[in-house]
Amino acid sequence: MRARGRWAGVGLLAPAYGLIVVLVLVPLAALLVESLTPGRVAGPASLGLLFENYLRFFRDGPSRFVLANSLTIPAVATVLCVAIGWPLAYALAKVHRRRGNALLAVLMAPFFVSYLLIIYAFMGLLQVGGPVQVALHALGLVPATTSLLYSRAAVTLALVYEYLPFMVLSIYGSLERIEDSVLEAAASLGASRLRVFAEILWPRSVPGVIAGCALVFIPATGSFVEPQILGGTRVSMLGEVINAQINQTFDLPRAATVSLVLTLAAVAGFALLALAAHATRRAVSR
Amino acid sequence: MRGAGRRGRTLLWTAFTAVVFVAMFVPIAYLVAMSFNTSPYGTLPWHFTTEWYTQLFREPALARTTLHTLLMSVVIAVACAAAGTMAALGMARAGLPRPLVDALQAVNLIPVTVPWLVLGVTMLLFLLLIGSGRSVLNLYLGNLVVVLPYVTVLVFTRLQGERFEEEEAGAQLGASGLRIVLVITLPKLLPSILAGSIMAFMVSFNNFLIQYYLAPFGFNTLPMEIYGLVRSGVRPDINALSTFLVVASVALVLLLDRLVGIGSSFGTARRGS
Repeated sequence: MRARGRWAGVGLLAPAYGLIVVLVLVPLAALLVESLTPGRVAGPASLGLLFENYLRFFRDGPSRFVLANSLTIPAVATVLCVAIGWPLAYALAKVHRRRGNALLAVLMAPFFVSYLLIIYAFMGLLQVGGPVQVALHALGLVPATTSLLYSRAAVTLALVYEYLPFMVLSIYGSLERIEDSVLEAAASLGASRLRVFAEILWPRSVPGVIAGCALVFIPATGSFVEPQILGGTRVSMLGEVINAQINQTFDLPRAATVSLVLTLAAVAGFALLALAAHATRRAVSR
Repeated sequence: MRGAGRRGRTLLWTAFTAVVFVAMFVPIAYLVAMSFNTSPYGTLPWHFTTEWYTQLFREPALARTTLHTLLMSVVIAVACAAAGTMAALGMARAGLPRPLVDALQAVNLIPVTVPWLVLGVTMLLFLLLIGSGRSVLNLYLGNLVVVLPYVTVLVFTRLQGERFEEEEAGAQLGASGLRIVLVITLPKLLPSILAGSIMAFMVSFNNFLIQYYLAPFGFNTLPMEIYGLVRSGVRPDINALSTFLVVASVALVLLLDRLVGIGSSFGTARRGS
């Protein structure tokens, strides 16, 4: 029975894991090999080093600057998603619990509409003569001819819109699991609301916050349409660089290098965010 | 006194929720409003017109693309439900050693931890290397591998905590493993499978970054089409198209929530069962 069960297990796992091995693991290995082959424009300056593409990337000032953008813009967007998403998840899970699930479903609707349309909408909203720009001008905040497009703020805003539902969903799950009896007991024993937040709500929602950070930060580092359309030439991210190398200069070794740099940076950045979230858990409850 | 304070707080939370919801729908409301506006540039002042809808219906290509993309997403969602559920059952019920299951779970999450852009580029580079390149089959498979975790994780989480009592009972009464899975386990998993495949459907329908790198030249998916239109400048018929998409997705989401309770499948498993 056991042995048969094991073979059945292999059979059950085969389709999904076969696909993951062939289309993800092997290609990632191939990407690593590709990144170690000389780039197209190696030329006479070639150093003949194994990690030459990486050296070139990190020696190049503009590349480093774009890499920094690719981490800081998504990081700010992720923090904003936590700042807006946590209270919203709390409101849905604990205050409006009867309508919570339905509201959650409605909140996900904009995300189901293609995010390209959301980007397109922001292009219209923020342009000169667009409603947001007109409103801010009416309030005397911006000159009549200043576009709000082509700024870090525009790119960040679009990312927050795109990914907020993921963050809310993830935090909602962890908040909903906290039994009301625990909260009621704390309140009846005279704990202040701040203390309930610091010692029960926040610490127990940190796993949800960390999962949310993974769902927001990592894909956001790979965005290229947002900086291309809303950032214009003024705000660049690595996604645009990779896309240009694939579709314009056909420099596959360089594209592979930048892709791996981006992936490692994304995972490292996420690890930092997760550690920070974990640290607040202890700091707050002390 | 205490009751009044509580009511005040509830009111504050309601106000906060309302503000975020309204803000979230501003871009969508803007697209819908502008689809009825005479200005092709999406600027104020606003004058009513239905011209962009007539223009949209004069373009059969866009409707065909939408149908292609819908068909692709349905096929992927179904394949994902099958392969993902099988994998979750294999991990949770085949009696594999614990470390192996942990490793399988970690591997399963790789498609989520690598940015989609990088995954798309990586698959394209590899497919070029083995002489396959862009094709419809690769487009389908590439999209599928990206959404597999949605079903696998949700179903595995549902299976992990408990071994259903009825499964034990069935085994003691001598039912075969396959029969137990088909008659007892699968029906219990249905909400998780549905929630996962709905996510898979929606993500496939919108996954521009994978489609952009794997679709064969001349084969456009809807997100690719929209990207092309957006890049070519402001196109008011996109507004009209997006109105349809918005209405369709809100209706779909609400309908599915009515049927299976999307929210509850993501929240606690205990309420979903």
